[in-house]
Amino acid sequence: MKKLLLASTVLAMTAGPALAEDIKVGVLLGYTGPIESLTPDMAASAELAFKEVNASGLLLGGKKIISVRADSTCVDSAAATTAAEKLVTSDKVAAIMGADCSGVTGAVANNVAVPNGVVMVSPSATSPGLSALKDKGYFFRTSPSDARQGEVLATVLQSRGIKEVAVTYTNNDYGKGLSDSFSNSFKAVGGKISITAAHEDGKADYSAEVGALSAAGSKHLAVFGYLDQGGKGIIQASLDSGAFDKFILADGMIGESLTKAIGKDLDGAIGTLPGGESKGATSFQSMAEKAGIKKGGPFTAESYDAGALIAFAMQAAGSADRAAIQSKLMMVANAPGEKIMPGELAKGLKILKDGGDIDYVGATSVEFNKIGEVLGTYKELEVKGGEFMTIKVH
Amino acid sequence: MNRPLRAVLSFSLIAVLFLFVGFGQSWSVALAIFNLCLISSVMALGVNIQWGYAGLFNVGTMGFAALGGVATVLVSKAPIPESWAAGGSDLMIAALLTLLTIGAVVFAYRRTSKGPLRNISITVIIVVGFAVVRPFYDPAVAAIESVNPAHAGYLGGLGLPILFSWIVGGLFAAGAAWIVGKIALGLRSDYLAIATLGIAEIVLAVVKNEDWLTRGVKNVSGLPRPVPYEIDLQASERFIGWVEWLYEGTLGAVSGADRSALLNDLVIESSSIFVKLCYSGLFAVVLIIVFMLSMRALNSPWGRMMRAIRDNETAANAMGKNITGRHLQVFIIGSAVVGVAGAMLTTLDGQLTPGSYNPLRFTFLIWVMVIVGGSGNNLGAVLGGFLIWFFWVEAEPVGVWLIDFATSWMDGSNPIRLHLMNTAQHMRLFTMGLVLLLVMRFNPGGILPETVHRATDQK
Repeated sequence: MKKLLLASTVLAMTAGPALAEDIKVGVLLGYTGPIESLTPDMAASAELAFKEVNASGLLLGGKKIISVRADSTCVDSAAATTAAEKLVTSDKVAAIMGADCSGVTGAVANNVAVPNGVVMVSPSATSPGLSALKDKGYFFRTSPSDARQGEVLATVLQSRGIKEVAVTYTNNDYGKGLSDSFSNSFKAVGGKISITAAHEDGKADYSAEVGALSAAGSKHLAVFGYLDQGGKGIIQASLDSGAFDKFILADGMIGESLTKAIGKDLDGAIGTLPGGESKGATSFQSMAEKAGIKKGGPFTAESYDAGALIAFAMQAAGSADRAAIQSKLMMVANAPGEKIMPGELAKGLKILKDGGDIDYVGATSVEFNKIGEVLGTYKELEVKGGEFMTIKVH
Repeated sequence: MNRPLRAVLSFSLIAVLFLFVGFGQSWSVALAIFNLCLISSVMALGVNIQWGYAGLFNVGTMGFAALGGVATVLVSKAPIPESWAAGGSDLMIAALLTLLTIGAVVFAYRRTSKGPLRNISITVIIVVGFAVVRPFYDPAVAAIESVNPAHAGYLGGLGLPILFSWIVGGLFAAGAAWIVGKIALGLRSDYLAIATLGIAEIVLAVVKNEDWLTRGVKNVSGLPRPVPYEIDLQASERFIGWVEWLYEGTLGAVSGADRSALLNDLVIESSSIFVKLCYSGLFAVVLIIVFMLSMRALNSPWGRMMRAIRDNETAANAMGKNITGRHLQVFIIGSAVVGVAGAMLTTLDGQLTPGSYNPLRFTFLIWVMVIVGGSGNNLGAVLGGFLIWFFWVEAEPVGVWLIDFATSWMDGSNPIRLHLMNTAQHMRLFTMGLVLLLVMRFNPGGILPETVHRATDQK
């Protein structure tokens, strides 16, 4: 981690006297704000891809990618657009890896990226609303829309014979969007939602919410929230009062801190998490661990893939021109072509240099649909003995 | 230092800061910051009207700004016929029944005198009204929200030009302020602060949860703009012609493919600057109007009365001034100005994201602007708006640069340097605290303190 950070920060911060050969890429994430604990690892993962590309010396005849970090704040659209404006017009980045949260991502795409013709590849904006963005083909995301996770979760429950659940979601675009898509899919496969109720994050006590949820009479509770926030509070209050002991969790709830906090009582909980057990995912995890990035951290694999895709698009286009990157991004991500795994970036660059075609698979099995979004694979997880275990991959 | 000189110097300093950004980073960044400075100044003027003139401690700025944001959606988005067909009529009936209930409550209040009869009759009317409204309201909301929930699921707006929403936003905020003021202005200053704090959260909870109105936390994006779109400009022959004319010299130096590539870059850059200048013009007009009106009000007999009430309520009351009435008036005016600024901000963002309203950004920061600028001084509020927003945005890149510079003598793998570099973005909050402390230490009244015209100053 330290070495990586050293490389990236030194490169990024001494950007002033950068060589003319160097290509700048913006890394626009919320280094301050609600997800500030996740972003350093996300940025480090994207920079890990850049570092791998730089080490190969193959990019556009030996050019180097320099990462320029800027703060999206996750919530303040005004500050995020100004930061993006700085990246695009002052640092003159070739493309942007980011932004992170869905709200600021929409604002940056509409007000900065699309008007200036700069590609944005977001590793973590999952709001279904972003699919309707008028982006002229400049917006991509490597994490699937929440609408997809809702469908997968509904199928998982159906296959396990669960017929009726109560749903609670954190009251923001993530929670609400996921809850809507899950409810619709679950009803479509014949399930029943006994109650849907929102919860606000950051409260000290959730017994009132849990009381209302349990009064509806279901045995299972689906929690679409955050593991460090209200989601954990809901589970704790449910167990304390004995209202529920069978939980269904979405990606925001999956993490070691939850199993540590709740312990054995969480056994039997099922959940879904983007990503697979593919060869790519495992090899990325071991690379990330070596570089000091937390294992299985949210959106780190997506960040690495976003960074790698930008580099490949440059190589395929034969230039770091903004419009050229946009024209090739879809091509390098999708079939046909030679499959490229994490850690094999040099191989991919070589093929593209020789005029071949690649199909970047990466850590998250990237394949874009025609509006530049991944469908994504999901792991079905179950808590056994106080740990999340992968049951199968959807 | 005399006061006018200090004002001139402060604003010159701001101008220099913008020149630094313009030449050092880019003019696009400078203009983006400038536009937000204009909006912040309008918002700070609103708070200054309440706090500076009348001493009302309103920490619910966020709620009024959010109401301005709601107005932009309700005015500018096109109506969604499917949603209206699904639940429009039921919702109208519910609205009518609600109005009838309120009318009945007012009627009962007027017709009865204080006592158990009034309490019981009003309670009964409200309970019955609630029971009658819900059977229409609930299915209507469910029907509307189920119409294409990923992209619609609300009624839409009126489809009018978004500029109207700035006025409507002001009216919404004024209406809310009237209700709040009627209830809470009898409270003494610190209680009023708590009440407004809570009310801002209530407003936000409504905006977040009433999906049929503004899609709630699912956000409304793609609001129409009052100015052209960059991508339309880039495709417009006339605009390209202008750019060619403007950069004739630069373009003349190159030819062929280089020329068209350069022209393309220049067109993109100019379109972005052109759009920002259009916004600057609109925001500047609003700021100038609000500023002129504030100055007139402050220097009028009304303004002197306000300051008299602020400085000694008891004495002003003894002079026959209606304290609560005047407080209500100034509370409504100030909140309306904040509402206008909130609508302007949402217009600039092009989207309403209720999740992004947080007290730190929309209440605390505005208060810092007023206090640092100089409470009670309109020019001070404008100065505070410019200065604080500038620091808020530029603290991050400058902080990163400064830390890099300060630790450049250390070895690259030095843990102190690595730690500092990793936390450099947090300089933003640190800088705010530092600015506030320094100003409070050396200029307790703010950079441009209130100027009190005494009788002897007047001709």
